[in-house]
Amino acid sequence: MVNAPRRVAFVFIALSLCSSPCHAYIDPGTGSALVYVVTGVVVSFFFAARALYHRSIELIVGLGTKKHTCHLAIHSEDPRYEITFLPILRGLAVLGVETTYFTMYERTQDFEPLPSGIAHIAIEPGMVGYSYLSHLRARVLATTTPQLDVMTFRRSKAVAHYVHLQHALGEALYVRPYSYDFFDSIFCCGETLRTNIRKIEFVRKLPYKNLYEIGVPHYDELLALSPSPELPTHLPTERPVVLVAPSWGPLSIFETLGTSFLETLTDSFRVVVRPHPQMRHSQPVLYQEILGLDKVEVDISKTPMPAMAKADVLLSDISGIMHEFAFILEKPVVFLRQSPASGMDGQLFGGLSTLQSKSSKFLVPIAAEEIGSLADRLAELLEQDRSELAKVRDGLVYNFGQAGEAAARQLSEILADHD
Amino acid sequence: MTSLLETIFLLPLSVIYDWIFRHILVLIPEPGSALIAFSCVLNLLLLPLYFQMEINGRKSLALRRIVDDEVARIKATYSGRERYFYTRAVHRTFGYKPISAVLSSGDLYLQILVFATVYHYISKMPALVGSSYLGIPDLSRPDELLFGANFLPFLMTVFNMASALAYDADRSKRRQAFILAAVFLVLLYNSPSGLLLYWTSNNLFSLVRNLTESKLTPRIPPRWRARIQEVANQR
Repeated sequence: MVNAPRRVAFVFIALSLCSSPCHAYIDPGTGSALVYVVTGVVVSFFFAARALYHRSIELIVGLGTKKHTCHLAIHSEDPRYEITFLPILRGLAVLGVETTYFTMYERTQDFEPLPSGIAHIAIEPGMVGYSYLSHLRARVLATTTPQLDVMTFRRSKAVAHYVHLQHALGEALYVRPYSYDFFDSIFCCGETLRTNIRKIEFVRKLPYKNLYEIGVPHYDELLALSPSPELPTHLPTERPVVLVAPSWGPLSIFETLGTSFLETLTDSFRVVVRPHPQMRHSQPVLYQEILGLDKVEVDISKTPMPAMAKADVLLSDISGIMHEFAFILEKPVVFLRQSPASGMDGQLFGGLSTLQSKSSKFLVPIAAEEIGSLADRLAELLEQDRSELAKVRDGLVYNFGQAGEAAARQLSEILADHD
Repeated sequence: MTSLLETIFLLPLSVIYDWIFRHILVLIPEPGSALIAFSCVLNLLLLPLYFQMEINGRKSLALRRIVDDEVARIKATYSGRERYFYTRAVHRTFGYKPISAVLSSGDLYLQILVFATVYHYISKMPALVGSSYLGIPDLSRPDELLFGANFLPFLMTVFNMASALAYDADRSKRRQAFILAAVFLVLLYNSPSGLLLYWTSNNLFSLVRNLTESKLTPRIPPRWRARIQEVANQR
């Protein structure tokens, strides 16, 4: 076998014998700069080719798209965000703001009628709908859809200002990359998100966006629908009810623990499982497994309030339902502590959740390895003193119970600035 | 096409090179020594251009490192369409355009143009024909000093590699420089010895410049270094 140095020598001699004249010679510094330029050419070519491909698809999808003109556009991607938009639309109607509500679904008879003066246009879901929005002419567009100008949701040149609204009490810890970066304004749900966004802007050297103290509009609706926390959920002789309502995707409690732990819980509790609606599309196998579980009740009703109202304690992961359960129904919550998944913007904060640490007395974290003691933890929490809950909540959520009005007022002011 | 390029670039520069070389020959009549002096003069003239290239290169590299870190974070998790769009968002966020490396490298192109035209000028230099120097019988032909094999290509490569070692501590950049040196060793192996004498002198100059830079830089007080960096960034 020919060893490596001899092989190199052989290649060198062979090349030397057939060497042809070259036309220049460069030193290491120039060579390094030249390699940098050549890689720049290769990468530019790759990006130009891909950009051309995606741009072509966008152009084909956008062929024949009508350019609708309106004053204020509100965009709802999914029926589950109706509860966020309705209080805002009511506020806008009261203020007499000319508003068009674009939904990526038909608003059938089952939906609550829109306030008078609010126009409605149903657009196609997915790429076709986003192409429609990217051709829209409006002064302001408000949406709960993140990642403006990152993927399919492209900015329209004829929309002066984009606003992002929060559909849950969250923080930037568990969001996908660049969720908020290219909006003009963010209607923040609480101080934590505001701080997170400023940190992202600092790290990425982005210009400061307008951050407004708005809150979570759908809490207004839930608050109006929720029963008094003092009302009993079951007879003293019955077992207490635990509602298991996780998120979907890799941080879901079912992805981490499976579904077998539910059987242990049924010894001490009546268990109601409410799978996340997105799970039906994104994790269909798991969704079917949950629907077929024994000894537990599965709730797939349109709104979570009936299931929440009859539960004594909630088990969740990163889902926004846990804040609704704790802050609106004022009942105890246990959640599985999850680190932000790789690639999420939470990596910029070192994986520390401010929301979790500030509310840990009422939203109690549990590690995956402690799941054996879950039933005991849930039972302990049923006896908990919750007198300081309102104080904690008001420190985390802006305009609790009045966020719809606050959002409508702020949208009206932004519109006035763009007149 | 080639003759058009020669007319545009080679002819005007050849006039300049010829003017310089003729003046050197007046002072140093020996063509071999004159070539070494010619190499020194050209390198001194190119020095400001070289430093500008270095400043641009370091600024681009600093930005590219930030972008590369963020793209690596994206690549570790996402693939396909999502990865492409997020990478585009990274580029947009940090104001990084891969094509800017190509468009903003005028100093590099000028440097390469000088290298290329000098090559043509020396290859066809009549003064080298039949001139001997330090045991090399004819500077217009390969030297054949090592029992028929050529010596100067190896000497040139040794200086080139030494210069690469002095240039950058980064292993990947050194490896890249070594590969380039090996490629040029092969390509220039059968070149006229006058030309190799010129490139060997060039590499020696480059080695001295890199050594001087690496020894001098740490001796500059940090306050002055920061000021120099500030001025460089303003440019």
